[in-house]
Amino acid sequence: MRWYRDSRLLFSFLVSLFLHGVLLAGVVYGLSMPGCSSYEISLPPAADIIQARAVSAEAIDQMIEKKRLEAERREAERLKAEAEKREAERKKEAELRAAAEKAKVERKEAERLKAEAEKLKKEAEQLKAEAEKEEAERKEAEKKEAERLKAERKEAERLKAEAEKLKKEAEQLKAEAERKEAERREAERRETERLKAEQKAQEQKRIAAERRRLLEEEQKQLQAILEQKERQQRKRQLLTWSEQYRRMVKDSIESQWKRPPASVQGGPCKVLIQQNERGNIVAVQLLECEGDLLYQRSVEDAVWKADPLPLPPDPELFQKEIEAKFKWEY
Amino acid sequence: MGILTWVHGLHNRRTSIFAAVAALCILFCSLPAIAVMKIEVSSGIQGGIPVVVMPFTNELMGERNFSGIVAADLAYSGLFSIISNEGLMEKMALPKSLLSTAAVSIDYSAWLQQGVEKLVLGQVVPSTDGQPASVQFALYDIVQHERLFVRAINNVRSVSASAHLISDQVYEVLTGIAGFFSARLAYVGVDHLGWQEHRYTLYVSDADGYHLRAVYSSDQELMSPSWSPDARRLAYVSFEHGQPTLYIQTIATAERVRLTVPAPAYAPSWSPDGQHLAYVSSSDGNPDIYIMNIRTAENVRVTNNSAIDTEPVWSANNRLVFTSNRSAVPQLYELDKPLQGMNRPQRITYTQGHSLDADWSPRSDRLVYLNQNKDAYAIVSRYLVDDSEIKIKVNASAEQPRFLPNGQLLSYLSSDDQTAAIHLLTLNGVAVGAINTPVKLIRSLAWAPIQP
Repeated sequence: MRWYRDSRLLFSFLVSLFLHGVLLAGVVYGLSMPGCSSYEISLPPAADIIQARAVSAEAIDQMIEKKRLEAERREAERLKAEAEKREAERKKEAELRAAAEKAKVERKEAERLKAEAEKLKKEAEQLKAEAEKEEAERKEAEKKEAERLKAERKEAERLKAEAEKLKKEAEQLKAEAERKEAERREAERRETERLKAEQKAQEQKRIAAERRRLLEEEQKQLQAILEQKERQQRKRQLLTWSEQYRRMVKDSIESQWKRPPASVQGGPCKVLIQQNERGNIVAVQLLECEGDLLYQRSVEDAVWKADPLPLPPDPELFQKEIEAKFKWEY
Repeated sequence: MGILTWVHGLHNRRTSIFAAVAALCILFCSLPAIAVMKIEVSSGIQGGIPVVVMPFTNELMGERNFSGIVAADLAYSGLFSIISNEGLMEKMALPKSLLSTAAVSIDYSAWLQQGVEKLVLGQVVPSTDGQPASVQFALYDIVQHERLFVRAINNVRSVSASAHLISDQVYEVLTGIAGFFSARLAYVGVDHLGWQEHRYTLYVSDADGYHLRAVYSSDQELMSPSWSPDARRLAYVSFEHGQPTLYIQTIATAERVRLTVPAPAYAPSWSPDGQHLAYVSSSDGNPDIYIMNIRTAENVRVTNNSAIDTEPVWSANNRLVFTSNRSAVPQLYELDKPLQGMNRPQRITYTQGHSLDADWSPRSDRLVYLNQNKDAYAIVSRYLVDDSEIKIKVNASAEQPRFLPNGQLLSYLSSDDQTAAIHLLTLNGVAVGAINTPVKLIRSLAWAPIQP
C-alpha cells in the first residue's frame, strides 16, 4: 500500500510540473503576438421602436427632422464599424505573430522545465525519503501520541471515574445536604407551623381570654347591677320583714301579757330582753319600770312566756337584744 | 369629752394615737349594742295570774283545809285565777320533801303546759293526835323556772290561821305588797227579832268572813266600829245609854270601856298612833269634829261650824278627812295636823251631788268616798299622787266604801230587805266577789289594819 501511495504522489508531482510548463509557454506566446494586447468589439445597432400616436403638423415636421438626423447618425456608425473591423484584423495578425513567438519561448521553457523536472525529481525523491522518514517519525510520534492518548484516556477515564465518584459523592452529599436541608426546612416549617399554631393558639387563647374577660366584666357589671337591684329589693324586703318581725315579737309578747284586774299600779315599763339564735330567751332585765312588783312580774312573765320568741323571716334581722316598752292602754 | 381630755393629756405621742384609736374603737364597737330592736307592748289579756294550789300532803279532806283556804284567799284577792287541782295529782310529779334540796326540782315545762304559772305546794306534818303540828309550803314561779320560797309554820294553832298566813306570804312574794288574809273584819249585824225589836251584834271574823264570832251584842243600836292601829281594840258607838256614846273594847279580853266624851257622840276614828280618837259630837246641838286623848280623856273640838261635820277618818299620815255640808251639800274636807287644834279645814271634793263617807288607804295615798248625784251612785277612788279618780258605779243601796287592809281592794256594803253582802271591788272597779257572811243585815263595817 505504501508503494501505491508513493507513486500517486509522484504522478501528481509530474502532472503539476507539466501544467506549469504549459502555462509558461502560453505566457511567452501571448506576449509575442501583435495586437494581441487589445481588441474591439462592435455592437449591432439598436432596433427602432415606433410608437403610434396622434400628432399635429408641427409634430410631423419635428418627426421628419428627427428621422433625418437618425439616418445621418446611422451612417456615421457604419463608417465607424468598418474602421473598427479593419482594426480588428490588423490586431489578429499581430496576435498570430505573438503566438509563434510565444511557442518558441515555451519550448525553450519546456526544456528548461524538463531540466528542472529532473532536478525536481531528485528533489522529490529526497523529499520522499524525507517524507518516509517523517512518516516513520510521524508514526512513531503517532504511536507515542496514541499511547499518550491512551494513557491520557486512561487517566481521563480514571479521572472521569474519580470525577464520577466525586460527582456521585458530591451528589450523595448534595442529596444528603438536600435531605438535611429538606429536613431542616421541614423542621423549620414544622417549627414555623408549630409557632404559628402556638401563636394562633395563644392568640385564640388571648382572644378567648379577652372575650372571657369582657364577658366576665360584662357579667360583673350585670352582676353588680343585679346585686344593686337585689340589695335595694333586699333593703325594702328587709324593711318590711323588719316591721313584720317587730310585729311578730310584739304580738307574741302581748298575747302573753296578763294583767290582773286588781292591779292598777303600772305605768311605762322598759325591759331588755336577750335571746339566743334560736329565739330562746336568755335573760330579761327590767330597765325603768313604773309599777308595783305584781306589775313588773306580769311584764317579766309575759316575756318569759313568749319564749321562744319568733325568729325573723331573714336571719339578718335577728336581734340578740330587744327593748320592749310595756304600757297598758285601757 | 372625758376620753378626749384623757387622750390629750398623754405625753407620749404614740401612746396618744394608740389611746385615741382604742377610744374610737370603744366608741364604735359599742355602736352595735345600741342597735337594739325596740317594740311597744300596749295591750294584753285582762285576767288573773293562773295559780294552782296543790293539796297539801297529809292534810285533811274538805274545803277548809290548808290548800282549800289558800286557794280561796288567793281567788278573792282579785289577782289570781285559781286553776283546779283536780286530776293534777295523778298527772304531775311532786317532790317528796319540800325542804330537802335534793328533791325539790319540778318539771316546770310540764306545769306550764297545764296552764299553771305559779304553783303552791305544801306538806303537813301531823302530831300524834292526827292534828297538824307543822306545815311546810313552797311557792314556784313556773314561768321563770324558779322556786320563790320554801317555808314552814312550826306551831299550827289553827288550820285557817296558818292557811291565811301562807296566803299572805304567797301574796306578798308575788306582789310585793303585804297580804291581808290574816287581817280581821268587824261589822255590826242586825237581827230583826220582832216589831221594833232588834238584836245588834258586833262581829269579828277573819278577812275571808270565816271564823265569825260575836264580840258584843245588845238590843240597843251599835254602830261605827273602828279598829285600833294595833288591831287589838275596837271603838264603836253604842246606844245602850240612850244617847249614842263611844266604847272601846279589847277583843281578846272583851273588856269594854265607855269613853268620857260629850254625848251624843259617834263615828269614832283612831289616830295612827293609837292615842287619840276623832269623833263627832253634837253636844252643843250641831255636829262637830272632836279629838279625844284616850289616855288623858281630854276632848278637843277641832271644827266649829253651823254645818254638819261628820264621819272623820284619820289617815296613817295624820290627815283627817270628814264630811261637811258647810258648802250647802255634803262634801269632803280635810284638817291638816288635827292634833294641833282647830284649823281651817280645806275642802277636797268639788263633785256634783253629795260626796261623803270617806276612807283612807293604809298607805294614805288613796281616798275613797261615796258620791250621790241625784239617782246616780258611785264609789270614787282618788289617787292622791296625781289626783286622778276612778268612778265606780254602784246601786243606791251601796254604802261605806272601805279599803281592805292592804289597800288593794275596796269593799262596800249593800243590802236589801232580805240579804246583806260585803262586796269586793278592785281599785279600778272590777267586782271580784264578796265576803262570806251569814248575817242578813250589816249596819257598819271596819277592816283591821295589817299587823307587822
